[in-house]
Amino acid sequence: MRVTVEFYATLREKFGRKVELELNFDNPAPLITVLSQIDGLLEEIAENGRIKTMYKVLLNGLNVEFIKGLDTPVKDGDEICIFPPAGGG
Amino acid sequence: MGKILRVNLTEGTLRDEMLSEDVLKMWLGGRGLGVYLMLKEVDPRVDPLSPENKLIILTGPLTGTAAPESGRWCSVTKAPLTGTIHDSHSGGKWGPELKFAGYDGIIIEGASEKPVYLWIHNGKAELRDAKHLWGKDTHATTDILIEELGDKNIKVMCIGPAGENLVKFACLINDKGRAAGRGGHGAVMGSKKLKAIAVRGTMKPKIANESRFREAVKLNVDKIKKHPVTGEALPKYGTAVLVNIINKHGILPTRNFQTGVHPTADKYSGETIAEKTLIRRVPCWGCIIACGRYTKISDAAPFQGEGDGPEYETVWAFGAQTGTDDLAAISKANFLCNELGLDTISMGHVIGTLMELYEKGKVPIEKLRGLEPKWGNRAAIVELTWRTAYRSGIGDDLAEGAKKLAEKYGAPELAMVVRGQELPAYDPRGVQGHGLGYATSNRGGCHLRSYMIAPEVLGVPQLVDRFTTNGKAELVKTFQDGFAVIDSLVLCKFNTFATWVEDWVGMVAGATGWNITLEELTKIGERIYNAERVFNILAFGDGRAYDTLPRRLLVEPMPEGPARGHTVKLDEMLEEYYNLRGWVDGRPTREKLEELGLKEFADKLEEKGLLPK
Repeated sequence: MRVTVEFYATLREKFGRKVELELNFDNPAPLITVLSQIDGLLEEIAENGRIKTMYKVLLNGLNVEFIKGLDTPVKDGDEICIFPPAGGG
Repeated sequence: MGKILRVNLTEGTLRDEMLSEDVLKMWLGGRGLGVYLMLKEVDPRVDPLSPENKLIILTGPLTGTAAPESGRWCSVTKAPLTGTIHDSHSGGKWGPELKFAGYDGIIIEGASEKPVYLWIHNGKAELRDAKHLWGKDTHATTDILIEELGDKNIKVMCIGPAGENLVKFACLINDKGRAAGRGGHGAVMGSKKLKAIAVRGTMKPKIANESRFREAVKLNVDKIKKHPVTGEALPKYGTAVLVNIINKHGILPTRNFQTGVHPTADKYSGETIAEKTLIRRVPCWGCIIACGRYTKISDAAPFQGEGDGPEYETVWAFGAQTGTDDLAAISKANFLCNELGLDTISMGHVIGTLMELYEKGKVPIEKLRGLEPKWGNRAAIVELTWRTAYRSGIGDDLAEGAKKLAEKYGAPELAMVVRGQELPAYDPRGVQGHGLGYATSNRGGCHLRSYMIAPEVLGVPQLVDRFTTNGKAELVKTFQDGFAVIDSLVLCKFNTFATWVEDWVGMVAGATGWNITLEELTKIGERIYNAERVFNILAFGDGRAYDTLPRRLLVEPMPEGPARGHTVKLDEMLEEYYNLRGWVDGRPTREKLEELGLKEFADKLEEKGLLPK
């Protein structure tokens, strides 16, 4: 399956703007499995099996905290956006 | 603390006054003190642009001290855009300099016959002729005054042509690029023929209890420095770091709130600004965050320019709201707003309103003098900014704000306003609590009365489900009251990402010597929110009928993106909010007002038959 992962703010410096993943997984696959394909990403955004506080991982615009966290199923064609802690006003 | 300069422009008189400590303990400073003074001194039914309205400029008990982000000031008046009580805040360096010049605030009343400016220096104040400044933009005005008064350290706050021309969302600009933006305070100052206030001084504010103050400041500074939002993202990318976050959540209002997704928004994001146009970061006085930007457009004719900003709200207003994604044109419109003295949120927003009116065939072509206000017309956003400041042609209609513009052209439902103030850069259909915050904002459509984006999107202090209405009423009330406190301490709201009321108690107690508790400080916030509502009830009968949102947000589901299908379920939250506030139909009861020490205002409401049974 094909999944797009987009990075923002400081994460762009470490992982680039966007990664297109071609994965030979059963469709759908858990988010943690998908993100583990990108070197260093899980260490950056998660700890103790959970996404770090104030990091935002959106699956098609919905925060995965309100789906199944790192176990959220990801399917072919999905867009994942990852933001570090940030704010404005 | 408490030294006020009273300026009567009709009489041309200046007088020093001291406020009592009892009053300061009830209202702190800034926003709170402003609403109290307005209630005591101004008939709430007054025409905002008449000499009977007052413009009250205030600092707070922590301004110009070592308290973090204390380099701000605040203006309070009855606003011409909304007809409500209205406070507008600005950063930069002017606020502390007013304090160093010997004053905690200025009450400006009456109106001058001819243009004047006010010069305040080390406890002395004088009114001077400003004929040579009238008509000048904010940059020229600032440069001329600094030259004329002969001290490069002088700080200037002034209006531009928009304020002189009574544009209903003209702002006050200090230090050339910081704005007390919303509501039209610049028009109030223009109506009084007061062009500028120049300040300079060396009188540092006294701290009552140095050791307690220092200890409390350290605690606050440590929290701000360690917090990932205030310690890293804001300094690096500025407020426009929000563009992609809000857009990817599907709540970036696009083409006058017709949708919440602008596919090319990254072209004007904080990340893009940092990469392409940022010259330097610009901190306000004493700031440890430094979210401000100084940017330059050097090679995108005809949009070249440089100056402060643009902020998140600004790139949204001239970007998604008008369907434009050209950073050069957006930046140019921003620079012009600073120079002409216009609120960027309302200016961009109103252009979006015009574009939807045009799209729907509501605007006669002859009104446009060759201009085509189509979505995405980048030249139009710059041209319409000029025309608005000078009330030229269609600009005269835009200068009245979105509500009157949409009414004039027969489509009042296209005005995305609350209490007459244009909504800012978050579509509440995908953030329910934020919608309640908009609807119940005493100063009209505003994100800074209760910034529910923090818990509903950013996860600060903790993430809550943005689509549910459960628990939102209580959160909104808590945020509204806490923000009323920080607005009255006149500290930057970005403190609130890292600290909250309990952290500020020690700084207030240390600076003032008052034996103030967390409960008392929290209650001050609630008192202020209720007092503002009292002013509005007396002004125009505020209440349930005004605690609402534009019809589009209540009945038209978001058409696409992650918030697709949602509307704001205001009815599910409003009654609970009223119950928590002790209000009936949007109006405080006598019991609530007396609990807050506001018996005199309960009596006033009762006298007018406006107190709920």
